[in-house]
Amino acid sequence: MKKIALVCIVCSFLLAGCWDERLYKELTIVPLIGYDGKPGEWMGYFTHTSIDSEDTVSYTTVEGSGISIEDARLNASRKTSESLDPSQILAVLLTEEAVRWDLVETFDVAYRMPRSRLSSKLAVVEGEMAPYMEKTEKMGLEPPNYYDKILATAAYHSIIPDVDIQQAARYILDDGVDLDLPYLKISEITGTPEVAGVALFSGKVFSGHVLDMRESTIVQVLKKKPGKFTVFSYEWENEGVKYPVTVELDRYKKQWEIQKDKIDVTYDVKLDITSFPADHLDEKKRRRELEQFLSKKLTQDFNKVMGKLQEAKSDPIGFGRVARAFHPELWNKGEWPETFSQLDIQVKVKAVITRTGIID
Amino acid sequence: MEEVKSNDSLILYIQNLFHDSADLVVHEVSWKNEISIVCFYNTMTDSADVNRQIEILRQRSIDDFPKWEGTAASSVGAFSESQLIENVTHGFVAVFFPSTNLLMTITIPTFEVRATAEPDNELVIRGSHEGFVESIDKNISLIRKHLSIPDLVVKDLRIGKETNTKVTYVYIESIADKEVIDIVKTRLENIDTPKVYSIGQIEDYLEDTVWSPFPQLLTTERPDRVVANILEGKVAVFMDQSPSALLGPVNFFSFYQTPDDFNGRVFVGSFFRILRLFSFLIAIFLPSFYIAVVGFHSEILPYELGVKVKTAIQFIPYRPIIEAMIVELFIEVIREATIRLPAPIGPTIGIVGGLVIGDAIVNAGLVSNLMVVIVAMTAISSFVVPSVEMNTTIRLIRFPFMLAATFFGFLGIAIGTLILFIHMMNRSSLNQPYLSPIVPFDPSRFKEVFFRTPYYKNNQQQKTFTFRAGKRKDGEGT
Amino acid sequence: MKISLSRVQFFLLLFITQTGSSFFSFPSPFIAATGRDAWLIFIVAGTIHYLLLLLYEKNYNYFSIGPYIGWLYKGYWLFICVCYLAYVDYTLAVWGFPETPPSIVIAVLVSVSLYANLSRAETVINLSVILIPLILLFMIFLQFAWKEFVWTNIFPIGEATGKQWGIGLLKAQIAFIGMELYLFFRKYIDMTQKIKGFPLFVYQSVWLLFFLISIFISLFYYTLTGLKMIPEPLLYLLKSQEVTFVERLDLFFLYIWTIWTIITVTIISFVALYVHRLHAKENRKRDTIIWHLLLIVIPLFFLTKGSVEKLNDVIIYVHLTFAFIIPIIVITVNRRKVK
Repeated sequence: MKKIALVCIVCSFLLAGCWDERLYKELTIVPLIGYDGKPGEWMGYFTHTSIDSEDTVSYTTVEGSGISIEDARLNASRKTSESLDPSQILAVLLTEEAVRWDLVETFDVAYRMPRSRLSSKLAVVEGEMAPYMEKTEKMGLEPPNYYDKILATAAYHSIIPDVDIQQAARYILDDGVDLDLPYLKISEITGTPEVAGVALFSGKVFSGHVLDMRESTIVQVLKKKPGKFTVFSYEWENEGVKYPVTVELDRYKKQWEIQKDKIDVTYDVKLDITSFPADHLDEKKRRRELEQFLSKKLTQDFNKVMGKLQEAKSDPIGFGRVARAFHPELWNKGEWPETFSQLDIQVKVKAVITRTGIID
Repeated sequence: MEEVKSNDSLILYIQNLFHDSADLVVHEVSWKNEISIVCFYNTMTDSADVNRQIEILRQRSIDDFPKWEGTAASSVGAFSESQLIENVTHGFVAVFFPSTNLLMTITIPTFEVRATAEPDNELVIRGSHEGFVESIDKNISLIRKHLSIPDLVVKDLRIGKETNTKVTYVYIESIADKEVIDIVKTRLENIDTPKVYSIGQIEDYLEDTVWSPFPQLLTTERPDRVVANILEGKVAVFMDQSPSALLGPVNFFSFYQTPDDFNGRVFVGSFFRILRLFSFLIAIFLPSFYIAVVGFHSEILPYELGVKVKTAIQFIPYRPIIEAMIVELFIEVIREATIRLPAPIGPTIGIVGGLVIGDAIVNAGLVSNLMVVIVAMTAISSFVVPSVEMNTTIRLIRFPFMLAATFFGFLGIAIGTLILFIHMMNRSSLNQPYLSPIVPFDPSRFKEVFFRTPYYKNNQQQKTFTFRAGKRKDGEGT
Repeated sequence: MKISLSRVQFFLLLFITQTGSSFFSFPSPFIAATGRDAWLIFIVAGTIHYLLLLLYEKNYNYFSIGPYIGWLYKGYWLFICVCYLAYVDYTLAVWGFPETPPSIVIAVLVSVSLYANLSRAETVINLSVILIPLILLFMIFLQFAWKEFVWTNIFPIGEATGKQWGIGLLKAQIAFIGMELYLFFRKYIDMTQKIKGFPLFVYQSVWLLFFLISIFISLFYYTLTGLKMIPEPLLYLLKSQEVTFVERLDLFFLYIWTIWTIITVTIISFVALYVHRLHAKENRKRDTIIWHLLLIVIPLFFLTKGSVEKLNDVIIYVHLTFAFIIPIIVITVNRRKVK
């Protein structure tokens, strides 16, 4: 009798399902989200998959508004047939307006709820959100995959940092370093969203300053967190003729000398030449000239970028971390962004050519 | 027996004793100075052989050999009715001398015995291709052929009042554990059942716990496997008319080792041994893992995979557990059916069942194709284990895991694993720990479990559950 | 019931009990209380741990307890089990089972302990073996975060104030819980195996290293402000890791940790019932079942964030009483008696 009762109970479970069961077929995958607005008035754009028949997947975007991003998601959920599941988000886009508020507070739900995905990519977009959520002809892929791919490729080329939601929180909560997020804008020529550089944060919020692709690459190099493939191009002038020279960053060393009111930064970079029509790289003299030229140019550019960072009161490079750890007198002067912006920072780049390709 | 009885009435009496069986031969044979009655079943003994033996014996008696009755094939003893019955039923020839009241036994049984072909369910690629047959003597001789040592001890006893079945246990005196032999002996002697006709019955009596899905004795039809195991100090139990031998005490990991391991190279053997243990995990956990993911933890799927899984299951009307049960039970049915089918049709039905119905079931939208992939992988993995009993066991225990995953997702699987582990630790084989070397914990022996170690050392089964109390001292096993 | 342990079994048992539930919950409050110098404070705390072990090793023979102290210890172990179960159920509810009634989750967890404790003693003693591969896996996956570690986070060294040192040494006690089992099991170790000296030092080092790694990883990965928000930093770290084959590593490790806690509870229950049997020999089965019913019922009263935190605070003082004060009293009294 006991056994029969037990079997009955077990079987009834089979019919009823369990308390915390969330059947996958009753959830909707949301791979791309865009947020616009400010605290109290959030607007969310959720691109979700819908499976129409046995094997076709299509993507649609629903909008929702609410006092928090979670509220916006629930609002949008009511407009879809299944509930929007935030566990497989590939990328989150934010307007410039949205990042003027503390990201950690905005994304509280993402950090708090265990189902959310923390390794989704983050990016800031220029202007309105709506056009970014639409599929354009030139994209080739569906928008979620498109953003995932272009952000990954740009990070691979050191143009932008590889930042996800979790790392963004780490940077924001760390006083010694500031966040820089990928910056996207719609190309004037093709009308397709593309990576334009990075948006600089100061303290916890967007500083309003944006760096272009060239400058943001230098920021990644300065951080010593470059992607796999970092390239610089300059025009080299010799006897009145201009030759383009393209170099790829090989390995490099950084050396920071932090003093009371100034920082001397030296980067010893090793470069591989990938394109140099003037040739004759087998001559020592030619290489020496080129090295000097590159050192000069890079130093100039690096210093220019540093100036822009100081102007934006943004320290994505992390001088603050070192200052906090080893130079308390500098760190305790005041708020770090202020201190940083007033420091005298001199960057020096020493370029050495290591490889010249398969022709001289 | 009274002497007043004439030989004719004696013959009648004996015929009555065997209920006038048609194959019983009872007739008079005259000797030098007396007359005897010969009695045997002509179905079990060849009549011409009997004549030849009797002729030899008669010649010896005429030549007046002292103790002429005793030859390699014959012996003599006092007559008793039970002795007569035993001799005849065992296929011996009984020769009764009424005048001296002696009973001579001539042991020349001839049975039809199948050739020692390789057992179908335990194929190996390299190594011996002999297999046991349905004759206990032949089987023992196969073992003796491998081990020409006097230390190999063979003991028999007869069990079952009605069937009077011969059961033999074999071990190597110097290596085997006395305690284990005593257990085997007492358990066999205590078998109190009128009928014994299958080795499975004996297994039930010998096992420590019948109420467990895990086999606690290793069944094999391969002489080389028996030899390898008795050299490790195990005991082999044979039953007449059964080609399988039971080996014990065994631990769980011995079910995952095959004689082939030691025929291959060290690396190859180790690789496949690890692969087999890995497939054990797949066979148990894969369906429940799928159920847990689809039902509870879909967030662990990466986006690309997630979209694929979702498209596969979006239009399936059933809950994952029902879906899984449909395919799992279907596969079990195909398997069970193909065993019963005659060899020429078997594979055909397998293909029809597996491919045609499998494809149709997916197209009909009853189950997702992902489920079919998972169940097929599970089924294949469960067949990797080189032991039929263990194979059925692991196919059975994945069902509770599927249920656990339906109720609690990964937590259910975790709890189930713990319970399974505790259950296995509680088991013992002939009072020896089943999960040795994990219980008792002995890290130094782990490598033997996972790798085919280069030297074939004879390792005794751990003796007791309590650490050290019975640990083998080095050099003892020779 | 007679048990005999090998050295390895003994240390494994002790290690699992000591790391058990506390491993995930330990770093966050400890670092919150001590700041950047947490690792330094923990090394000092580790030295105290070693001294205590040495004291135990020297005097374990004198540690024999009567029924009254036995009952005190049983109460203490019940308290520890309840704390662990309440904490694990709270964490499970937050991470994966918000809707499932807590009574069912706890009943499922406790049923494992009940089954193990109704089995033979060797089962409980060897149960922790299943964790060895899982813990190794856990340590390997933690290293995935290596490239995101910020080494400068532990500098400047030596900022901690006296108050922080005091609180830190107290909070470090969470990592000590379970060490009193040393006194209970030490006498069952095989006499031929050496414990004193090097083996004990190895155990101490492994224990210290294990907790130090967890502290270092938490310090390197999180900023101090971030760490204060996260009660289970290591689990959170695994959640944010991206590996190619599967998202959400944390889920696997959440359940590994659950197994870990269950095994700890099983071992502690085993000791409690063992001590109980020294004095009350009958009704072994009944007592085991009653004990486990208590384990199911009592945690149900402590399932809110507030009470879980309160338990975690109180546990330190209770532990101090039972790992320091009572053993020292018992040992001194017994030594006197012998003299």
